[in-house]
Amino acid sequence: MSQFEAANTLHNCPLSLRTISAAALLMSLGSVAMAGAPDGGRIGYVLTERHWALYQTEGAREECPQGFNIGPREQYDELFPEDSGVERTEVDTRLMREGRRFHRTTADEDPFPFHDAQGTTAYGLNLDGKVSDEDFLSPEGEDGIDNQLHRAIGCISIYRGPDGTFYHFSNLFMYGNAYNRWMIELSGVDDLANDNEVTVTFYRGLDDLVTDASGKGFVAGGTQRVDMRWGQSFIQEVQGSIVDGVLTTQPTDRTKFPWSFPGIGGGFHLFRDFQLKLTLTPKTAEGILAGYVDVEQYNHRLNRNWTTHHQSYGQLSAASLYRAMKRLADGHPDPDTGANTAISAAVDVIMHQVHIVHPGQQSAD
Amino acid sequence: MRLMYKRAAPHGSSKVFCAGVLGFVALVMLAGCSESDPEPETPGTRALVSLVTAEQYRNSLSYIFGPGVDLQVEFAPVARTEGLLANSAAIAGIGSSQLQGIQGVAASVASQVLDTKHRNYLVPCRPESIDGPDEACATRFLSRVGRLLFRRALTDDEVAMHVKQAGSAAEQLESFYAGLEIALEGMLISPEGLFVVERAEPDPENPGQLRLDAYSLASRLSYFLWNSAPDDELLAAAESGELQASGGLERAVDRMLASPRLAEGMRAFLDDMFAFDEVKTLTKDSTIYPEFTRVTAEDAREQTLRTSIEHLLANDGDYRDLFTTRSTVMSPALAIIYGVPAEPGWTPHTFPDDSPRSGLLTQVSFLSLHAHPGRSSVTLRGQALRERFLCQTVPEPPPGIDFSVVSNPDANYPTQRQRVRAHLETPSCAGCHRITDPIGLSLERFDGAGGFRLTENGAVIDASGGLDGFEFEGAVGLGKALRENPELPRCLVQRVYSYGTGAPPAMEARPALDYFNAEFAARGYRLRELLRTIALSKAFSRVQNDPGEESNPEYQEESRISVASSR
Amino acid sequence: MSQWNRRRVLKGMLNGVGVSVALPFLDVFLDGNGTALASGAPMPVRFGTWGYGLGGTSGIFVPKKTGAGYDLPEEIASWAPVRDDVNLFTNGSAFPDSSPNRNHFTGWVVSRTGVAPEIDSVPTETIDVTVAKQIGRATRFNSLTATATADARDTYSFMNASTPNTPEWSPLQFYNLLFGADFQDPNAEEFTLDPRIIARRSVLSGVMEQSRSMMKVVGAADRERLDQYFTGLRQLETQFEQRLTKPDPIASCLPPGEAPVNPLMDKSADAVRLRHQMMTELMVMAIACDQTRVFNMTYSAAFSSIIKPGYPKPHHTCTHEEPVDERTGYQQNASWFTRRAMESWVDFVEAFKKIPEGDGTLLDNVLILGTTDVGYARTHAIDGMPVFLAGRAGGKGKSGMHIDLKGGSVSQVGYTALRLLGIDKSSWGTLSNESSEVIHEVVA
Repeated sequence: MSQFEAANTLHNCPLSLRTISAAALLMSLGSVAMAGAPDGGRIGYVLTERHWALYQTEGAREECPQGFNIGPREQYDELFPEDSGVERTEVDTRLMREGRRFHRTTADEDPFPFHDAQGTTAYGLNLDGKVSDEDFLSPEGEDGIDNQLHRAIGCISIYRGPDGTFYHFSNLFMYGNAYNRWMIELSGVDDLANDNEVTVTFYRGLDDLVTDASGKGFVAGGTQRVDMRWGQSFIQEVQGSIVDGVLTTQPTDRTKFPWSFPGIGGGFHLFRDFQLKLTLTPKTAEGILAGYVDVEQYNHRLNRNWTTHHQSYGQLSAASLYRAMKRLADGHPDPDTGANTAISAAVDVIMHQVHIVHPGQQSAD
Repeated sequence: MRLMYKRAAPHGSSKVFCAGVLGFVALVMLAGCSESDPEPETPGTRALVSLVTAEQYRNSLSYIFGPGVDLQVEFAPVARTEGLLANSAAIAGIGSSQLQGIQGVAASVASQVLDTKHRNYLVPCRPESIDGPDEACATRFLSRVGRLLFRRALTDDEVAMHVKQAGSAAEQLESFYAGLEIALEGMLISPEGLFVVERAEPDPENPGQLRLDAYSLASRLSYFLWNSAPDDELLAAAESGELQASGGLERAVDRMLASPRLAEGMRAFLDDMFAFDEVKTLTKDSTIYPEFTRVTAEDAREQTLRTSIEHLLANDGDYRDLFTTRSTVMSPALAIIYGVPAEPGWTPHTFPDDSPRSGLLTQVSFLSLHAHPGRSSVTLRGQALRERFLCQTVPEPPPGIDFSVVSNPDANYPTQRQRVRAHLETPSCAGCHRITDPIGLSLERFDGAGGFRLTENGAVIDASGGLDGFEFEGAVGLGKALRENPELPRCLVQRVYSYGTGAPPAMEARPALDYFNAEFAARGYRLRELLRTIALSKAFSRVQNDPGEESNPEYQEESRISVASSR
Repeated sequence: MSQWNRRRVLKGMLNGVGVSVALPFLDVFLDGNGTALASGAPMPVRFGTWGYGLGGTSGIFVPKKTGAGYDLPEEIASWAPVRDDVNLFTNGSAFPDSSPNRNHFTGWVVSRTGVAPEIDSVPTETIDVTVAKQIGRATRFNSLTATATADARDTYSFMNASTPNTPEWSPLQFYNLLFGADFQDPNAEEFTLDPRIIARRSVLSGVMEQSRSMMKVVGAADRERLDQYFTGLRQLETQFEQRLTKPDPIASCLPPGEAPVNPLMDKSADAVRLRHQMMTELMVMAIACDQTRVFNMTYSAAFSSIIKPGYPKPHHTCTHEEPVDERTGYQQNASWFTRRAMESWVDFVEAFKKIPEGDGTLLDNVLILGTTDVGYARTHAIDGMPVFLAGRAGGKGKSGMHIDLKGGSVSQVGYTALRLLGIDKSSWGTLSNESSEVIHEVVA
């Protein structure tokens, strides 16, 4: 065939293509168009921002009218004033205080007053389906909101955004450290705006997040491999529904949610009745994770990950917080003692769309 | 059907006619050329004095001293001449500030080579005493390094000179290695290393003709195929006469073509041909394309180079198929733009048959490089396709034009097609834009960052386009049309020959180029075959001039007279 | 310093090669009236250039008033703090004569060489190179060239067609070059002689010998290139010489204490301005420390690719494609880019003014030629072009004047600059761009 012939053949070929209308192209390229259903009815999102949900007003006037709690250094100064003239040993002072972090007790009364967050407004979900006295009203006006953790930590400055060191660093360590990578995958999605039956699977991921050109924001479209190093213990499937772009999931009995400091293995929170309420777009999922947080595990994680030194940055006294959490705990009573073991809580999250690569699957597929 | 094919200009690039009406220009048929045709007689190229590039300098030093030596080398950027930076090596000079930089590199390299970590294996002997000169050991080190640096064996006088310098410095500094370091530093800034001076000699097989001498041929081959100075084996072949003995050139070229260093060499060539030096300064408006980062830009370059090397060398593929292939490699940063998953590192990736992506033109490198920071550009893409892949030149817009005719004041025109229509309706613009814009319009479904889109400002994008008489829909059609364009392989041949010989082909190289084109076609458009044909050709090693002669004042006087009398 | 270096220096010092000299206090550096160095030598006059792309919009750029105390239309409103330090020449032309008008090229090339280019290469050395040949030899660098664009190709300084003076583009690298290990602080209390430099200098003469013999075996054009390389070797030699000599103390030399951290290398206007400030600060201190007497700064290339975040086209494309705003009568975004350039020009001039020298400032002893490539950006015209001249050239020049060139060649300004620097040329430039008259209004 001469080159002329080749050229003519080619010339004829695309003419048929031109008859395809743009609308048809839109249909045939659903993966890009993202009109209703995501590609294959499946879409993944990876966690890119995460904070304990606190309702904060200007100057904390509404929620902390009595001021903020004091932390380890202030408590130490009060317990062991320098000018007291008393001679003390390391064991009776610093080590005793340090020991309290790990051998938590509510047996004796906290020698320091603890300021719970006040007011009637908090973020969160109605976890128990009831509206009771200690429940909150959401800023949008929904009642029955369960978030007793808000009471416990709302007036500890380390947890408050945007400058609290826990608020800032805990999030930084999440996005900067693949150990904390957490993602969800929706499957069986017919329409990302409305679908009364979708499956949501939780995974840990293995890979770094992809930042934007400023290096500060995150972009959709990255890839995460499923982290199988913990077997199935972090993988969980629940049912959910999407109404007007908002995904709500059925509560799980127990969910392990990774939350660790760099270099400290095994950090996670144990949630009971774990639920998601997320506003979905093809690129992001934003909203709340909520559930009853296991108090012992919360404090175990806190103290393994944050030293007294670091807790002192934001006046977080672990011993006082433990007592407050035990006092405010509102779910999952111990069958033997009847004492509640878990505290209602909510987490603000932003997630970005991500391609999830399952074990044994090639990304190029 | 309006055809805009032109015969490939024998020299450098051809200017595309920008007149509104183009004459019919016949397609050049290659009929009649077959494998058995011998190479036509051509006068060869000019023997040149070329400045090595930073990459060549780096490659040579890392061959000599191994990968353990950290080489932070940056040379002044050179201008692109007739499509290639390589064509400027024979005219580029070294400014004072650049030489200061090179001196800094030389000092750093020399101190690393002779530090306690490296010298035990980089210096082939131990001095009698480390506190002073040692002639024998210095001679062994400096003659070995000098030969590799200067691409030829050093004369006894030269070795003696360097050894003497090392000796007196060693005495002064009371250290054998410090003396050696100072002498090596001097070698590293020597003009013998920085400039490649090609020398001619009479060709014994063709009386009256000149050819490159053996060392110069070795250098030309090595920079051509490996982008580095000749290795020990090639120098040995030049030194012994083996390179120019019967079958010697074939043996040397085949060894080089089989070496893994060929991939490095061809990466350098393609990087130059694709003008990827531009990637270094490619940035996008981060408010418009937040997903396009520096990593994206560098990965885009890497993706195209890897795709090309894999296709052309590893798979021995048809060059033309590069513009339709759906096989590539993917990185996580690029995957964001392509909208596909990718695992860490580089992984093979194949675009599915219904994907709008196929071939190099649909890769992020081409699409983002030839676009504005905040939007696509039909003109830049069309121009780039013609200049990079068809060796044509699209002229700059004439000066003094009031460009507002093309900037439609009604910003409500949603798509580029509507906005650039003014180009085609304005006679002073239409000539050139008619040859660029229809190409670019077929790539309009890719935004300025290379991402795929179906709409712009809410309007559906019409991606119909044209290239030299072919009309098609979208980028896939463009790739197919380009694949069949006879100028496509001819342009590669021209660039490869030009790259290998260091200058744009002169008019009289025309028959040689025709021969290369025919051979390239006959051998299925395989790059390695093309390299072999060119490297073994007389047109590669034959030269027209002897720089040594030209430097002779009498010769210069004569040539001046002959030029004057010929007027 | 590696172990080896340290050991060598120590050895050298033990052998009596190292020299330590205690230096006097700074206030005795100058003569009684503070206008000359203690040695009696006058303050050296320095010359530099500053370049930006794409001219401006004359209606809002050219002052109505000529002479001193000129008004500042909106595009150059930012000049207020330096107006009296800058001569503004407007309405100049770059005559192409028989050469084609090379877009974005002819304009600045004529401004800096006086010659209209026939092809896209610089026909002859640029003015800074001419000046450096006269006054650049005495210092460590015979000239310094930098760009704010982060692109090593953006230079307006050329030795000849094929040898640009490559600009420094990274603040960190520029710092290392100027004030890194090889910097000799003129005010350092001790002067230590590095014996390696002596050894290096003698090796250099061997390299020069190789270059000479190589020149014998190449053709004329290549000999020129080798000659240029040879010039570089001589400059290296000068550097080595200087490092073997104790420098004279300089009161205004206060080198930065630590290396800068490189900022973002993108093309947004803010990033360019920041890099321009950083490069300027380093450059000006290098001049104050007498590391060079000739300098070039590129703010933007002729095809300026600076970005206004959120606006989809870079500066150059914008000038082509942005419609003229009906209300104001000019291209809003194009003018936005010009204004950013003018702000950086002010940054540049002010940086010289901030350095005290003698009884005035460094600006009194420099002359800075500012050029662009076109007049009206929108049409890329090479008439109606502005040229700037800042500083007072050691008292030889007057500043603060607005001069209407009345369509005459921009090369008049270059010629005037050469004469103010005491470079004796009867004319400069060729054909219609040949100038042989100084612009007397700016001569003191």
